[in-house]
Amino acid sequence: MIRLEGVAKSFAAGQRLFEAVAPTSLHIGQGEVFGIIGFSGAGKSTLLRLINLLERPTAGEVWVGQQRLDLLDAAALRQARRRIGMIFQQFNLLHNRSALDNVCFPLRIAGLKEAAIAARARQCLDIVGLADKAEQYPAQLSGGQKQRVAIARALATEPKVLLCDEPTSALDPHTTRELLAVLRDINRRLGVTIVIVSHSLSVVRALCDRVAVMEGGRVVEELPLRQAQLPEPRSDAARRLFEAA
Amino acid sequence: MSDSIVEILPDLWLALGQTALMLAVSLAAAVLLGGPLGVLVLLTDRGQLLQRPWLFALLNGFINVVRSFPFVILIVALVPLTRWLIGSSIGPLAASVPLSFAAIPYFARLVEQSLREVPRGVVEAAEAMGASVPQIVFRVLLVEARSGLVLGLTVMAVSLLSYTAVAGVVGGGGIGDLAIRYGYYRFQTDVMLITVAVLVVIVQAIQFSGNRIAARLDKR
Repeated sequence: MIRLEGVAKSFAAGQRLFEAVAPTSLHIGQGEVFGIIGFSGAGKSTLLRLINLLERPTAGEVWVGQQRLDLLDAAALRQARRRIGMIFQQFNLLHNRSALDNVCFPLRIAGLKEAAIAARARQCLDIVGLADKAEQYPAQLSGGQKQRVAIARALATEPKVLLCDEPTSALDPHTTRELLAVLRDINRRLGVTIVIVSHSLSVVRALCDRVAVMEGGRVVEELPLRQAQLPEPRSDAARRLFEAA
Repeated sequence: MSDSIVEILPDLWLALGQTALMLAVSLAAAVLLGGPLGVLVLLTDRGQLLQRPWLFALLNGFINVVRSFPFVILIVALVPLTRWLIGSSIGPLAASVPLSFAAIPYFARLVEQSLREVPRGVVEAAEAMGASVPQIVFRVLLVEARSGLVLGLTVMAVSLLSYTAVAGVVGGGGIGDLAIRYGYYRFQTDVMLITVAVLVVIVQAIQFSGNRIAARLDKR
């Protein structure tokens, strides 16, 4: 579903070139839940944002489905992005729009008919269990509810892929568990491929089939997580992350 | 005192109308021309959606240069343009030209500032959903910044109201001009007090309505 082939991202930092992501290749299967874990500054968010080209790679190829995204022009990229949902640590909802209007947003920019938009948006709020909060504004919702609205918004255009950038880092442990259940449910029921960035092993463990461990802009290890026993990490970074948990 | 008030009433009504005309024209120009200018100067800045360093420098420079002019000098400097546009350089409509000219970069700056307050992440989320730049401007930036925009417009309306007094220099008329002519030049203190009182009431009304509207629009 998602193939990163030797993607890299470097920024100019004054005179020097800072390599946020060293050349990296990842293959993520359809319907898979894939985690990217690492300490702060490891480059995991940047790697995630390379998938929908919020960060443009300085090298390599980005494939989602059958499409190579890094070669698309601006209009084609906008079309492609409508098939890739994304949620963020800070939710990034429109504060001056109701929950329902937030979910309508991606449908309106895609130019759908207004009647179809409202029906689909309500359906999505229902999926995340917030049908009764449709008319509320984000300021009236709790953190967990805001993130659920964001998930409903990301699902509105029926994407095949959902990118999650630290989606639970602003939430308490209880709300985190609830939100992870929502994400798991979406993956099982709708078959959406999920890529989730987190610094928390428990989040990744609860949700992911596989995890990539990042350090210093590199994926130092990929580990399967489906078995009951955590696999023995080989890298230093993974060992420290596992110990921290 | 009551005599001079009755005497001044027709002039006061006329002045009110002139002030309203000058404010309406310059506010409309500010919103229609200054608004897009403000959006453009923001979008072309470094790190923004339409990053164009030379265009940003040009627009930003233009805004600063026009805003540097003392208003009286702007009025005089623009006399040829005013004649060409209006056919005359005196009267409230003529005074609306330099007023508009001052209002456009003023409002552009206020718009730019308000839009900068919109969190980067919200714009990014819209980009990730495949929104185009016009969609981001109209459906994200202007929506999220709308209460700040109304407050900016309110502040500017009050400033323009005091600018209209200066417009008396070119026979613009208006309430401020009335205060200067009768109250100041003719030493009719009572007339001056009345006109200033009227101005105080207008400013209060503008600020009160602006605050009310902004609060109603703000759901944050």
